Amino acid sequence: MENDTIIKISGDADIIRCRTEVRKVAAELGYSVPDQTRMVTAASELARNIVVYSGEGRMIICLVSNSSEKGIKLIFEDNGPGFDIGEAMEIGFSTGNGLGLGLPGSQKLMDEFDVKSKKGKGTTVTAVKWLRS
Amino acid sequence: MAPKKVDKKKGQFDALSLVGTPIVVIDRDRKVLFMNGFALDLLGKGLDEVVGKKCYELFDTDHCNTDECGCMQAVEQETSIIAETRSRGLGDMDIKYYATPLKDENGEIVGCVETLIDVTEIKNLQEKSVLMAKEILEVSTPIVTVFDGVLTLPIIGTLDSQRTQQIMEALLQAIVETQARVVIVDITGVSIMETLTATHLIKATNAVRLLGATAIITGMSPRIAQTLVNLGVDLSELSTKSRMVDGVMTAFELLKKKVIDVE
Amino acid sequence: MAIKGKIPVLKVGDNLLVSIQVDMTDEMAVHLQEDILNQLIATDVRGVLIDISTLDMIDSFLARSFSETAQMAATMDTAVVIVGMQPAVALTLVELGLELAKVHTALNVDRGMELLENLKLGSREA
Repeated sequence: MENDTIIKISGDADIIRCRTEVRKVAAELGYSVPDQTRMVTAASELARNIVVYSGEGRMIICLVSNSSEKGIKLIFEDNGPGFDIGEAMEIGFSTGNGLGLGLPGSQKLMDEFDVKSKKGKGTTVTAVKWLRS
Repeated sequence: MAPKKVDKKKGQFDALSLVGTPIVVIDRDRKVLFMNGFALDLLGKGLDEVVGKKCYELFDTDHCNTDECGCMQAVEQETSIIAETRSRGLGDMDIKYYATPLKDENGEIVGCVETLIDVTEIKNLQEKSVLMAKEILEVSTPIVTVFDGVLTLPIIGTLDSQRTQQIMEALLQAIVETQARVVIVDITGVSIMETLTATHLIKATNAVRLLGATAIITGMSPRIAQTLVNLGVDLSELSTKSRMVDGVMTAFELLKKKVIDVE
Repeated sequence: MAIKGKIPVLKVGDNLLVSIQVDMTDEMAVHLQEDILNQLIATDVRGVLIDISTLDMIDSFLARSFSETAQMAATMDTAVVIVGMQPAVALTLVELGLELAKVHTALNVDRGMELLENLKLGSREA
């Protein structure tokens, strides 16, 4: 989709870029500050997952809409080692240095959340937050 | 294969003129075959001005030329589609439309019959309702400063996710603005507390603490205390008083103030 | 002395004052934790005040960093007070169920200093 913002993620500094971009887009669209913060926090967690578990990936910010609302969709994709989704969604699961709270936490902060991953094939996390009027 | 054309029998669509809502008939190329009087009135055009024209040129809606076009969906899925959109061709009118596949005598789909309803009025009322509901929420949960640095928040009724969100946002903002040190959350008006509400309440008290203020819950009934205990909440961690007035006195103590009689 | 990318930790009396003014990378958070710990070990500091009033987000990594700092400080009989948390940040932390264990909080720097002194007095009396 044109006008999507794409951020390459390969290191620490990119996590900050993700936060900044998401904050910018969400603010422009008129999200409340608390909702902006929720999205930025979720983006931070998901971007960090890429840095920690895969080394390289990207975040895509898309504007979406359904019949009644506007929203922002964040897509985090990488070609890293992938994982077993069942295990990862249990709070506390972690193979890396992280807390393992990345996925369940981000899910709580967003309205829609989808994870596709296969061991050896990479991961795609898609999350949507609708604009509350 | 050439798209199926509709055999134009004379008066084929005349019956549609009797129906009291705007109706548009198009073929698979989205060219207008017929429009009844009500539809023509909406567009302010005569029948000869619209027949053969592309429907999207006339109506220019948000769904036109996209996957969301109800008529195309009706034709492809061979079913009736109901959708809502906005039509620039009708002066930015909010419309609800019903699209049904039009079949010839062999049962082949040759086009689409569309009924339009102007829902502008309804949408306005809906928006007004939403606004009113918001106002009611704000009014029903007033945050009151009873003393310098002490806020009270009486909770009446049930706390659903959205309401809790709004209350918490308003409360935290108030703490920052008034530099409050104590927040008294009075739940005397809450008769039954469901698990979800209780969880929200605990979250609210935690958030208050993160801003450096003390949360005191007053008016907790034994039943609600039981709900919290069942939830695994350590009640000894919560500051609770049975009456609001005791909550206020505790707040004074925390602020190192006391009430004395003036001679 | 400002080193690029490092958050300054100032020693004032028997307190450490940290003011976070920029977006923190994970690396900066780790360095900050180390710096604070080093100062706690090397000096007679009994309190740490961290001003996060310009921080517009705290995720699980940062939350854990603060918690760890506070827990380590507690073993050295030192209190950690975080001040100026923005409402939106508090809401998110609470929703994530992130506990800032052993971390005390106050509305602003003044109240934070007040709290630190009370905590120090309290632990002396204990």
